Amino acid sequence: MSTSQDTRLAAGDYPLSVNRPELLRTPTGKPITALTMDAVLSGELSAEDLRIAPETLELQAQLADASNRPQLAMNFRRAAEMCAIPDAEVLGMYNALRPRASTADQLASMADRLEGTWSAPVCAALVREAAEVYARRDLLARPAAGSED
Amino acid sequence: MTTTQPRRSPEPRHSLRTDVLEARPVNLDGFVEEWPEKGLVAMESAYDPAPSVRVEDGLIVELDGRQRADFDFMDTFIADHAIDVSSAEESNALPSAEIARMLIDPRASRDDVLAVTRGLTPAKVLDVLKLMNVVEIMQGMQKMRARRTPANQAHSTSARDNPVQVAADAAEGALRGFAELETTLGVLRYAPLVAIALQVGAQVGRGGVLTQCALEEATELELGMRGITAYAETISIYGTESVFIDGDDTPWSKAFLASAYASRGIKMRFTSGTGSEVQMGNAEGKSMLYLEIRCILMAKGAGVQGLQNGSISCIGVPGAVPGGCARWPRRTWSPA
Repeated sequence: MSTSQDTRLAAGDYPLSVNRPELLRTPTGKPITALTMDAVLSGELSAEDLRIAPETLELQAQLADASNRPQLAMNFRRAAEMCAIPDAEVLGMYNALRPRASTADQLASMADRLEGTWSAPVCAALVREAAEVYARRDLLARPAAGSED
Repeated sequence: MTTTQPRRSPEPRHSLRTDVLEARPVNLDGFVEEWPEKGLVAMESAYDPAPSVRVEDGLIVELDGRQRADFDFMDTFIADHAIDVSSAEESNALPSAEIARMLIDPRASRDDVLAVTRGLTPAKVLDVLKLMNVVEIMQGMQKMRARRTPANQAHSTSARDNPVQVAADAAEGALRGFAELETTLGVLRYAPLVAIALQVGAQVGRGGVLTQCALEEATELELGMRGITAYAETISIYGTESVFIDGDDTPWSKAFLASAYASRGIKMRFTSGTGSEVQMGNAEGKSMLYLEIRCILMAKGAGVQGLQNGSISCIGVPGAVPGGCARWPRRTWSPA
């Protein structure tokens, strides 16, 4: 079995922390074997080291693909794209996707921002798809325009 | 002819124990009459659609009797994300009895069954399940289970939201082998404190145990983002479009949320509640089982890491109708 990251993983590689620990790194690039209590006490580790890395989510997506679970793989790929987006913006985007929370233009610019600013084309595609369905099912925000209805 | 004649008493004999048990309030409980028009029916309703599927240019254009232009958002999400389009027409053409037999036939492997069931529509799944009794369904579940080793979750909750009590309870739960620990709150403001107590207690009991604190969606995600919780499972989904909107979500907002959790390294499952749609007043005339199937397929389409059938807040509904007790509440599921 190759240790190259280019190798597609097989279902037997799961769980990675047991079978392929050499592939796992923290978002700051440390190997997961560096996550020890001594390192916490000496201040070598920060909270940033305890977050998941987008590369790890891609590995999990490959495991999902290898287990014939394409939807789970897509979820992990959207997640990998979202790692870079700050917490508050992710929450804001979720709230904007709620029924009648956004206009068609707002959803379109959210998709553009996901694709352009955050290099998140898979997430952008999900938002564009939502915009299309919301338009058809009357789930876009109604224009305020000073009216009561 | 036996040597001892059975004694014949004028009335059926009851032990005193039986009389006492039968007089208990729980045994005075009865079933309500089914009301299929409103979805107050557990498993079989004349208003559930008949299975059908049609694929054009790699797109499902007809699902369970509805044309694509008339799809509600559940139909659309299930057709575009959950059903395997390449095998849909072929799988749905199989007789339901044949699929039901595959589920219980030891000669049919898990992969054999999945090759067929990936393409089934919600109404076709219902058509298969209607043919099976509970024992057969459980036999099928055992074969289809994705998880190698089942694991259990425990609740560590204090009626007074006392963090010390929760921590001690969590430590014992972890020590006894529970893989996941959940807490719920009486007073919302105490959530972060109690969640931290749960986490600390659990890790003292046994390292690596996952913890969650059940709250409203966005708050729960915020606790997870801060590293105070490790998983979430009270992310509600519903079987009809109208109730989904009532819950202030859509399949797309929930799919986005699922990925948001995963992006922070948090494990997450959805929750559906059998009977929640009729309880919330918009089952759209469909049976509880049919709507539960739509929930499961929606969860699968979102690629979420699992689904729990909560049904705690609505167990009174399926429990009140004939056949409803077979819908055992509170079980979790891993996606196939």
